[in-house]
Amino acid sequence: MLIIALSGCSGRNPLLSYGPHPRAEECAQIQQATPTKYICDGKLYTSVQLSDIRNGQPVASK
Amino acid sequence: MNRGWKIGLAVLVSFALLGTGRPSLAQDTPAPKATTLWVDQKTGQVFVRPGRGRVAMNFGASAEQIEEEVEQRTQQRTQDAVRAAVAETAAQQRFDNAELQRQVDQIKPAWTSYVSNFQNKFRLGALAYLDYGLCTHTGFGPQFLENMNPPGPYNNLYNSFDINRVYLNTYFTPTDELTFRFTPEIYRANGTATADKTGANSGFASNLDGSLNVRMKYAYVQYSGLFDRLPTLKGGTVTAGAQQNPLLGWEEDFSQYRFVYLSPWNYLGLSSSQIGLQFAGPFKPYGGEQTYLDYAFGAYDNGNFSTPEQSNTKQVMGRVTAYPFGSAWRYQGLGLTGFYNYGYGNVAPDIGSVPTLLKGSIAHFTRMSAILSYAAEQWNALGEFDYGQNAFQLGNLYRGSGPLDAFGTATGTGQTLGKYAGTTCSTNKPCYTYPNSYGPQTALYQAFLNNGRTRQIGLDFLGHYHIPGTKLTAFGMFQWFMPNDNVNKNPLDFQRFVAGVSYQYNEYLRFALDSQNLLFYHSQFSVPISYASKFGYVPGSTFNGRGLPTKGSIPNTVPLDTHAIFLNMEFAY
Repeated sequence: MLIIALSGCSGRNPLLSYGPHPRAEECAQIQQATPTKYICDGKLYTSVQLSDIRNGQPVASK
Repeated sequence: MNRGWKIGLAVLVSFALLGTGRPSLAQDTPAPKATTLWVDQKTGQVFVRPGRGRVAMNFGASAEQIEEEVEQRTQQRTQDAVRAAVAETAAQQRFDNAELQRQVDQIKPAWTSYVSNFQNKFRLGALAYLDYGLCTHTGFGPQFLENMNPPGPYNNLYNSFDINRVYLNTYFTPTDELTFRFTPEIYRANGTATADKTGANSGFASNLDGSLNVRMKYAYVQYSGLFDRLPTLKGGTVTAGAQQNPLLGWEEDFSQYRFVYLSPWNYLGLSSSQIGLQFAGPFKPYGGEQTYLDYAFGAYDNGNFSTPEQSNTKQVMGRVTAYPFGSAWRYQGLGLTGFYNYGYGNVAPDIGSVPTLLKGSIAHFTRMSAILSYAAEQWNALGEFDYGQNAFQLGNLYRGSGPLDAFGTATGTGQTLGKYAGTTCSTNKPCYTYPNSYGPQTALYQAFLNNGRTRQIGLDFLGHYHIPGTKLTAFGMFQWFMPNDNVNKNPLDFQRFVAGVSYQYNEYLRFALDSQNLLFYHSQFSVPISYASKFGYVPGSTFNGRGLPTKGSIPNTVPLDTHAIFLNMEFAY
């Protein structure tokens, strides 16, 4: 119920992964810091960078 | 009138005018006055009186005229002087303003630089672990997560919303190599305090018990330029202050589920924050970006971040992780980890130095772990063998909740007459009786765990797997632990397991639904008092003001299990 509520009325299955690549759920969280660090396809991203990618902004990874 | 006559008249008038002139003295100088002659316009003759056809011709000025002219000239000079002064002042003001502007222009870049660079030197983050937990079966034991203190047995279906962790992480990096971190956290204060008294008859209740308070969790300064000139060791750090210890932070980040369960040694009582000095870093021997070793070691107080240091010794801790095939990113690939911790009970030297047969809870302690791990982006797995000495005591067992007997208050009804289990009972010293009390069992556990010669053995597995194409990840953790394998059959041997699925809403928010369980897996049995006495149980002694059994066996020694279902939430920024 909580997941459905958070997914709003997008019409998509909230359990499935959508959106620009890479996405946080597909990455390995390697450090819970400020900000959190993820490894996606061998490259390092922060949670802020992944959020920017999800919102359509270009980001350079390390 | 002929021409000569005219000339003569003009001369006569001139002489008349000049003749009247003489040096004037200040005290008797007559007031100057204008002279008026009349000129006949037809003939040009000059007369001293007006007449027909004559017009006036004035010579000189009257006193009023002169005074007026002087006044005008004075005013003119004054105005000119004022204008000149104003102009000079204005010019000076312009010059001063230009100079001031030049100075301000020089200052402004420094201020602007500070403000604009501040955002690059300061980071502020937040971390929150919240949950709703339902205990289908309550029992005594360690905490599943922080700030959770469910009631003991026979309180099934106890449930609560909890705040397990709240951090406000602040990092200040004035230079690239220097970092200061300060992290306050939330914790629950437990323990009643006496009411305050004011005046002769007034009082107000204590508000200390149960409040969520704020305390320091991490406060340290870290320098990361220690080995900048050594490419093999570049990235190494030295850290001083209250910081993460070498093992727990590493293992928590590996598991990725700290918001759901505690890592094995953390569950057993090892604190995640120690005050001391630590060196840490990677080892990259072949010049590339692959890490083949990473290490962390240091010396710390015997107390943790939340207890004052009392001892005159320190504990040491160290972890080394080797990646035989190299690691492209933190944890990646196959990893072999060794962890070692040695320290002493946190007591003042005048107590710790006293020779005793059994050091009890103030004995030295050891913790060791051997870990085999493998991490990929979509899954990971870790297996761990734990060994300890005096590393798990009664206080650790009951960190979540325990019987009152462990905290100084006898439970059950004491027998005040005759004998019970070989102990003489009296009003002054009632006897513990069973089964309506936890007293004898608690005394037994104290003997098994706090005698200063305990040995711990444990085995753990944890890991997760991301379900492809979804936001879901399955995870699990299993821990088997023997709190003192010197006991032939220890009723406190337990297994803990966690199983669940998490949902990654976005980069900052995760949820998990999971089952957590603490199982004291032996079948119920009794422990003979004669056997218990080998570990320091004193038959017939006084415990919480009551007499302990002297003969026979202590029944019901295996504690009840705890089972719970949690909905956990993690917010991290």
